[in-house]
Amino acid sequence: MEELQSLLKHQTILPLKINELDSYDVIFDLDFDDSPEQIQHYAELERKLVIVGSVKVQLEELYAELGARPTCTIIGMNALPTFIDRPLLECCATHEIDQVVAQEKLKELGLETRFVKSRVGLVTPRIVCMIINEAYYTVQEGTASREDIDLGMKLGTAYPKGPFEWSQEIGIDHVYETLEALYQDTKDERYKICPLLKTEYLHSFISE
Amino acid sequence: MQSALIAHDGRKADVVSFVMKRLRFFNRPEIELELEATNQKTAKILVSYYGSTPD
Repeated sequence: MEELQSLLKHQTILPLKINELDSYDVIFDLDFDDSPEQIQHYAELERKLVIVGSVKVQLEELYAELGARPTCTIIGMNALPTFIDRPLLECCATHEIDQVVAQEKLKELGLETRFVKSRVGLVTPRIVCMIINEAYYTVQEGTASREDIDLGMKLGTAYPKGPFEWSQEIGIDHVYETLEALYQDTKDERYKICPLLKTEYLHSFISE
Repeated sequence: MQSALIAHDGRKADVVSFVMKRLRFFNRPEIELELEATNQKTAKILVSYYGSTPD
């Protein structure tokens, strides 16, 4: 186990040959949320199972742009940091047949999944990011400090992590982009990004 | 059966967690790992696994 961990950590980087993807039966793309244009490559694959991180994008929207449903089986998953550590994968499918095929294959491979509706934000990222946003509003208004909010949510509500701790582990960029995608999709005020969160997100791009 | 796992180099910790939590699938004697990159700016990791379906 340690050998595998070490191997994963210390591998060198080589150029990606996207045309070689055809030689794989199952493809996990943890990066898809940030590179949804890859759908063009995956759509060309036949008889493959492609599992893509799809928290910030809705697969149906990409299929609509393609003008057709891909011939291979593509399912979405919650691949955001911290969520990916859980043994259970949060997945979604645009069509029932994709869910059936994927569930069968993944079960065969020993991977645990739970399917939710195919929507921007899926379920857990939507809720967790909204809580983080609310925590930022609470700090912005001077109601409580970050430390107190983290402590209160852990001790008072038995959350595994405080919202600010969680935000740091997920990455402020993923939190901001998930909330932005939710707001653009729903126009619901509950996803309107707190200015303090936005400022921190922007600062993450400014080198000191 | 062959599987690929693709992620930015910056998400190496996530790749490790993802694989370590799914050892029944990934920890096979035939495992083969390759780290790949589209270009210098967008490094990607391709972890490929070669082997038979677990029992």
